[in-house]
Amino acid sequence: MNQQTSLESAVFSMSLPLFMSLSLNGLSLAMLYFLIAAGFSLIFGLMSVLNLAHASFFLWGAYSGLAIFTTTGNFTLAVIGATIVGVIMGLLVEYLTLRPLYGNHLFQILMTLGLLLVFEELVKLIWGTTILGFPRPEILTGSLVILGRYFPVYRLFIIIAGIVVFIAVYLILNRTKIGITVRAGVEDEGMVQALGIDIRKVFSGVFGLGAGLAALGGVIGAPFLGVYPELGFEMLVPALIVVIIGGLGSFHGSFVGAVIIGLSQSFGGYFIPEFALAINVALLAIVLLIKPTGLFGIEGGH
Amino acid sequence: MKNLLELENVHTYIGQYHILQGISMEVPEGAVTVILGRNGAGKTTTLETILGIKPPSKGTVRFKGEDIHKLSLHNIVKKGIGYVPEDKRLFGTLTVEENLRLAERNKQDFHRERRELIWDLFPDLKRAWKRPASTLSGGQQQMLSIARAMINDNSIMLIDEPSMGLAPKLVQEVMSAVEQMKGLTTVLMVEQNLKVAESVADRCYILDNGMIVYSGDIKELVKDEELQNNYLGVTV
Repeated sequence: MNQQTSLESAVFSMSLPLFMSLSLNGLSLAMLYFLIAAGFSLIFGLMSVLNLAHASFFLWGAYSGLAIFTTTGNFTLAVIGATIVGVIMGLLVEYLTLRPLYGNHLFQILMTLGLLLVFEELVKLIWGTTILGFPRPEILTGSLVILGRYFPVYRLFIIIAGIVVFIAVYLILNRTKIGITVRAGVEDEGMVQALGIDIRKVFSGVFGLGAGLAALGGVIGAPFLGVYPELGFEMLVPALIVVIIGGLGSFHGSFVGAVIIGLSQSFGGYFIPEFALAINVALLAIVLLIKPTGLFGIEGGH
Repeated sequence: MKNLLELENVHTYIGQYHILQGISMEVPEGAVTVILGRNGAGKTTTLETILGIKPPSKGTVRFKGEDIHKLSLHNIVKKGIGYVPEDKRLFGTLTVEENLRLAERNKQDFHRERRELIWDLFPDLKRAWKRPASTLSGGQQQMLSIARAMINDNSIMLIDEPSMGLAPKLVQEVMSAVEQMKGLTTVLMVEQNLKVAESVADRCYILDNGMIVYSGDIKELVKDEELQNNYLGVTV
C-alpha cells in the first residue's frame, strides 16, 4: 500500500524534463527493437518461419561492427560492414538450413534454436565471454541539453537512424514492385507464384534484408548496450513481444509495437524496475485479448 | 484448329486420393473450352494439374507442343498462362492497381494498352483503382481476378467457375468479358452451370469421378437430357 502511494506520487510529480528524458531513452531502445523485429515479422509473415536465430544477426552485427571499428577506426565503415555481414549470414541461413524445411514448423524451430546457440558459442570462441566496450565515434559523443537535462547525442543518433530506416523500407514496400510482391506474399504466397513470380527469390531477398536490418541494429546499438555473448538472446524476448503486439507480418506494426515496448521498458524500468518485463507481457496479453492478430496483423494471414 | 494445350493420360493424387484417373484432353487454340461436372469430379484439380500446383504423378501436359508437367508453377505460368482461381485469391490489402501491377510480366506499352481495355470492360475497377481489393464487392472482385489474368499477353486463360456466388446480372457481365477474350486468347473454363457454359463455350468436356465421360460440341450436350441427368445432376 505504502509502496503504491509512493509510486503514484512519483508518477504524478514527474517533471517535464524527466518525462522527456525517459521518452527519448525509450525511443532509442524502441528503434533497436524495431530493427530486429522488422525482419523477424516479415520473415514470419512471408515464409511462416519463426526464426529464433534472428537475434543472432543482431549479435553478430554488434561483434563484427566492433571488429571493423577497432581495425579501421571508421564508424561508417563498421556500420556498413556489419550490415553486410548480417545480409550474408541471413542468405546463408535461409539457403542452407531453412530452404529444405519450409512447411515443417517443428524442425524449423529446432533448427533456428540450434543456430541461435551455435552463433552464440561461436562468438564466445572468437571474442571470449567478457563484456567488450564499443567506443562511441568522436562525432556522436557528448550530450545535448534538452529542457535542462543532458541527453546523449548517441541516443538521438539511434532514434534518427531507426526512423530513416523505417521510412526507407516503408517506401520500398509501398512504392516498388518488389515491395508489392513482399506484401502480396505475406497474404498468399501461392497466388504470387501463380502470377509467374519465383517466390524463393523473394524469400531469400527478405531474409537477407531482415538479417541486415537486425545486424544494423546490433552495430548501432552496441555502443549503447555493450557487446557480450548473451546480447542476442536478451533482445530476442522483447523482439518477440514487439512482433506479436504489432501483428505478425506487418512492417509498420513492428515499428509501432517497438515504440510501445521501448517506452514501457523505459518508464517501467524507472518507476517499477522489478516489474518491467511483467508490464511488457501484460501489454502483450491486453493487445491479444482485444485483437488476437496483433495491432496490424492481417486477418486470415499465416 | 491447332491444339494449344493437350493432356495425355494424366493421373493426379491429393494425398492418398486418386483424383484424376487418366484424363486426356485437347484445348484448341482460339476457342472457349468448358469443363463441366459435379462437385468433386476433379474439375479444379485439372486446372491445378495443368498449372503445376498439383503436379501429375503420371501422364503428360503439353503446352504449345512442349511438355510442361515437370516445370514449377511460376515457370509454367510464364509460358503464357493466366489463372483465375475459384476463390479469386486477390491480395486484399493491395489496391486494385497494385494487384494488377504485381501480375504484369510483359513490356510496359502492352500493359498500358491492356489497362485501357480492362477499364472499358470493367469501369468499376477504374473507379476503385486506388482502393484495397478487400473493399470491393464480390462481383468487382471477380472482375479484378479476371483482369489480373488479362493484363498479360497470355496464350491461354484458365478460369475456375467465374459464375460462382454471383447474381445473374453479374454473371452476364462476367460472361461478356469471357466472350471478349475469345478474340484475344484461348480459354479453358470450369463451370457447373450449363446455361452459363452454353453461352460462351465452343467445346466441352464432362468430368465424373476423375474421368472424362463426354467430350464434344456443347450444343449436342444441351439437347441430350439423359447425359445431363447422369453427369450434371439436376442443377440445369
